[in-house]
Amino acid sequence: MFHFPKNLYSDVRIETVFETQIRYLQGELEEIKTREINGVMIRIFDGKKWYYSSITEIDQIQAELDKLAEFAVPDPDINSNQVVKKFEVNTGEYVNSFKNDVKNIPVGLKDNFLKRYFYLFKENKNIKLWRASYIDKNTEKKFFSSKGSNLKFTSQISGVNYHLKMSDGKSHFADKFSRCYNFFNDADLTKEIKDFIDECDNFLKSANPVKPGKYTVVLSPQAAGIFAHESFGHKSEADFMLGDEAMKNEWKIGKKVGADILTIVDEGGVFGSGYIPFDDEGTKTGKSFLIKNGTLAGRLHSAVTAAELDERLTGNARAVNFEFEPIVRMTSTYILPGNLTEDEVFAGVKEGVFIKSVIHGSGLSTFTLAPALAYMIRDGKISEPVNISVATGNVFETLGEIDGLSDKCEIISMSEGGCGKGEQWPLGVSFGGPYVRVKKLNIQ
Amino acid sequence: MNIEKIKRQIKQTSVNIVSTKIDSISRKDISRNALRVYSGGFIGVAGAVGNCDFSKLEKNAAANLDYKISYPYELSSCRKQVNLTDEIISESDLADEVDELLGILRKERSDFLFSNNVKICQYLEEMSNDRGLDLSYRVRYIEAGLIFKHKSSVNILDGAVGFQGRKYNRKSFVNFINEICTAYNNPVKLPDSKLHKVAFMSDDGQFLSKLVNDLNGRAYVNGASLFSDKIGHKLFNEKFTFYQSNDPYEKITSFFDDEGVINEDYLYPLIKDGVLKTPYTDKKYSSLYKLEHTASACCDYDSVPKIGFSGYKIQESSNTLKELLNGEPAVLVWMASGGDYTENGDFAMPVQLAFLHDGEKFIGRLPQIQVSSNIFKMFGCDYIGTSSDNIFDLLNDKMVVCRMDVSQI
Repeated sequence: MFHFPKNLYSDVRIETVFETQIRYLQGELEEIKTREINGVMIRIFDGKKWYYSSITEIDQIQAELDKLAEFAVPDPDINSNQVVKKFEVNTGEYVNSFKNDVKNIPVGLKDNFLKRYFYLFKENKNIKLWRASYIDKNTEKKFFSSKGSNLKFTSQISGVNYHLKMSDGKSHFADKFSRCYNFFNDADLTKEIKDFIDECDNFLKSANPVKPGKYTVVLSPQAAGIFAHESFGHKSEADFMLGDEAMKNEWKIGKKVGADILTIVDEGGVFGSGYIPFDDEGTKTGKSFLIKNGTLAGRLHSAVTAAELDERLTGNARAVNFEFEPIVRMTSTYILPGNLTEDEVFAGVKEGVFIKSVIHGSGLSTFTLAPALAYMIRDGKISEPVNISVATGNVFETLGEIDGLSDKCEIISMSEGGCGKGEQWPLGVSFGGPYVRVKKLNIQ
Repeated sequence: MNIEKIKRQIKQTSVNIVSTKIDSISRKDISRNALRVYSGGFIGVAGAVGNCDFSKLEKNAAANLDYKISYPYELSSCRKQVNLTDEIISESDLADEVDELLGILRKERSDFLFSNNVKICQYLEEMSNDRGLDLSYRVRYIEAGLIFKHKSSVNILDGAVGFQGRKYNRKSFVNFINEICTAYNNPVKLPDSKLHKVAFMSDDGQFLSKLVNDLNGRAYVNGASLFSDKIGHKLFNEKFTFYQSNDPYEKITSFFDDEGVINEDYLYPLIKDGVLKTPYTDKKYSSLYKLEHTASACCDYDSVPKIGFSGYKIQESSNTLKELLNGEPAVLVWMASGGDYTENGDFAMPVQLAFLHDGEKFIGRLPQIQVSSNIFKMFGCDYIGTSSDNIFDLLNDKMVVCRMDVSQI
């Protein structure tokens, strides 16, 4: 145990990360590696400023704590500080006994699982370039604080990704197939991958540029999840309100921000790539309603933001790894389902666009989605494929334009990439929702 | 068996800002080491973060030869050191300097809130092997990124001002911030015209993403690039010349690629006078497909080197931005996210913050717009040129000007 400096708040986060990365290009092995990374983030707070240090030598933690303390100004009343009072004190081991712990699965087995589907990519003549990767990551965190926290908890992901680029000499198309779980899952993916390749091939041959304009748009669960994450999730991160009175007035709980049928949730306990049992300040994660029935219902917090806004902790202080301090981030963000069947969501659309897969999205006051697979909707039916650069809209106008939700929610996880905020990228998150119908979006 | 050693080390002090006040100070000192072993045409790699036992790394790297990852290429053997570690501000003085800067901003720009950070970084990258390779790049630089938000605004952020470089001058930085904030406070209309002169900062990678992706030798040889089979073809405007660049004197970038190769003058032309000269390649793609070798290997410290792109440069014209605009104001893209190309080269990008600029000064803030075009038009018939001058002395960026469709969102 550490000797925490007197009259200061301190915490220590020790991370041990086990990773496997296997990468093939056109079926040829490019990379296969396993590695274990150990690192430590140390924080000290004197009531006015924070002092952080990230190091890799576990045996230097005490020395680094003492060194950091020299920069701080001790405050005998530090435990009365509103931020310090907010910190939860949690103890115990929360080590998930994930089925098929990736540390215990031989690399050869992971490699064989990835290679099992290579023949499907080799069979299609229009696939000019394809890459395949298997990635897993088991993270163990130990968290100690001067308030008495003493925690050990784990998280894990395992997934495969197949990227393809197609060309028939005239047209080009690119997309990827991904699956990600919390355990090594070698279930048969043959049919899913084959269907994906066939759909991409058809898209390549048949898609034409969309006629730019405003359309009714149906978002797939993946597109809806990215929309929820980018359009509203980031605005729910309370650190943007620190010291900003205009924002505090604008973002009052209870404000109408979307259609009545819209409810968006962030929940750290949902299994997937956003799963965390505790955040990086040792706060237990929970379920936070960001929008409930179209009304602003909550936001995401670290101890600092919860103290400033006098709201409860939500367990959303997260760091991308030991090199960074925790900041307010999402976990698993999703739109709750509605009461229409999938067919009924489409049925109400005379002429519109269905966005099935998305390469990336972004969201400030205007959000964007960059689709890969997209189709026209004609008379309620998915029709011909169309090439779209971006779908954009004003966030709040669009949240108010949602007028149909299907009755099942799908959560999307990923083993590659993640969420970026400032320099902290990629953070494991997941997102999802039902099929979502938006009355009007700008399609380019 | 040959052995190659890689070291990357970052030391960083960051002063973090919330609401125009210092919130925290963070320190980082992280070193990463790796060994590559080469034997019988194969490569094995092992790495570690922090202190490491090199004999253990060598053993692990040698064991990884069993995966039979092919690497039958000649190892590099050049020697060169670049040391750009002149003092800018000491780590111990950084907090005081930022405090003084923020004091000025609280007074002069009391209508705005500033956040994010200012950092002093020291980066070391070394690569050596038993064939004589001995490369070392050391740089000390400042990275200032201030996000600003008008106090009356209900956006998460309204814009950002920042720079990365080896020089710092508080007065210049304050002038820079003042000019942007003043322009922000002056909303102006988008002039009536469908096709506008649009100016991008040359370091803004979004509008060049398709060019970079499709100039990849891997995409090129597999027929997955828009430019496949088009070496020698004139694809773009004759004024457009595009280099791969690892020039450590122009940017914060290592001067060698991850196979230890250095280009002459740190540049390699990929598009010359509008003609596709070559896609970019590493040793593998150059060797297998008889393409010019452009020193374009990129990888993580403990990975097998593979083809990648580390930096670029667009050939500047002899004209200033004012001369390129020739009396017509430019839509200057300042902050944009979420834009993209279709696979066929059509481009659309919503611009969250754009200014009207007359070539010498910022006129005012434009409403939110969307710019769109096609890669062959942007750098072809609609390409006007890249400026010879910078818009601020702390920024390295030149301005890339082309005509594009601009519409208000």
